[in-house]
Amino acid sequence: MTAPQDNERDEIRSYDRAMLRGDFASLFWVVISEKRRAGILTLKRLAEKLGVNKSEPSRWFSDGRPNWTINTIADLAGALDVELIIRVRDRDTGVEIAPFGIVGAQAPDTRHSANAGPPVTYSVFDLRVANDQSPIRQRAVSSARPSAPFESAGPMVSEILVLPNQRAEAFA
Amino acid sequence: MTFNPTNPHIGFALAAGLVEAPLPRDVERRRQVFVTPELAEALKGRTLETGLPPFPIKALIGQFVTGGVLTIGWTRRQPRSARNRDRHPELERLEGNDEIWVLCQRRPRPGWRILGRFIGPDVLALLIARHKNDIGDNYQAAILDTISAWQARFDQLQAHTGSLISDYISGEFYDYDRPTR
Repeated sequence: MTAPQDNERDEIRSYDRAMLRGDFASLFWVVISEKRRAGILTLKRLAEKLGVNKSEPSRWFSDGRPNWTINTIADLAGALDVELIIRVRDRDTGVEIAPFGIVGAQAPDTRHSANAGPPVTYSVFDLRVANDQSPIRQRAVSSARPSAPFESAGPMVSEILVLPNQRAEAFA
Repeated sequence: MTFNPTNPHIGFALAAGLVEAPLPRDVERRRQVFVTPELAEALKGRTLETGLPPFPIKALIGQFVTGGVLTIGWTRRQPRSARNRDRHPELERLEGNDEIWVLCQRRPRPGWRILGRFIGPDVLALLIARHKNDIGDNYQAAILDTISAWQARFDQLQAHTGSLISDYISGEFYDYDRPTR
């Protein structure tokens, strides 16, 4: 495979930026909508907390999406009383990483496209170390759907390794 | 590649010779946008002579298919209210025009309008693209072209109809006509 041309790289970068801006605007609008439906938020109250006009959200979805700073995102999350959960997913391996380390895996990019093949099944192995130095126990947690929530490994987990099924092998 | 759709509306799109709107990234598609092969080539930047700017349109389509929030116009108003004069829908139904919808790319201005119809809920077929300068404020010619393009590909298939925006689009959207009550 050849490397993308400069203009292709520029387009992907612009696309990624636009999508991320859009994702943040969409995310906060969904939160606002849910809280308004629940009767626990009004746009007026939110605007007061943020020190902006209550018509501010209409600007989020007009002619592009806002390029918020991290501070603005934090302020919005604070005003809406929501916690941001930060994760990235490696496009090649499907491994998900949080600020504290690896947290789970999804299948690589063959997701839900009309032209895509079936979802790839991945297994997550958690290696538990017993207090009495007994052999490591292994447990495979299979995820038939890439979007299935990662099963919590519990308090005994000392390390998590993520492997595709085909390469599953014992670790000691 | 053979594809066996579980959504019959996707099947209609593929049978009509439409293809998934090309995007720079593989994404989880919560909604679907299908385009003609000619539009797909233009969106891939392979037919630059059309002048169609691929990136801004793909960003709009990307937001739509990933379930993001778009500004949806349900009742076209002429002239626009003062409140909305500087704000515009990104996906707009041309009210009273036989279920014609327009995806609006406005920057760089004046931009392009991509017209089509919903085949079913969350399944949008985009059929023709027109430069805004060629449309002006009169969509009639573009509407007739869209209807012709639909009939050529779908024959007697009726466009999806609904009485609410949510009949067409799942998830959240920003209602251009009822913005922030």
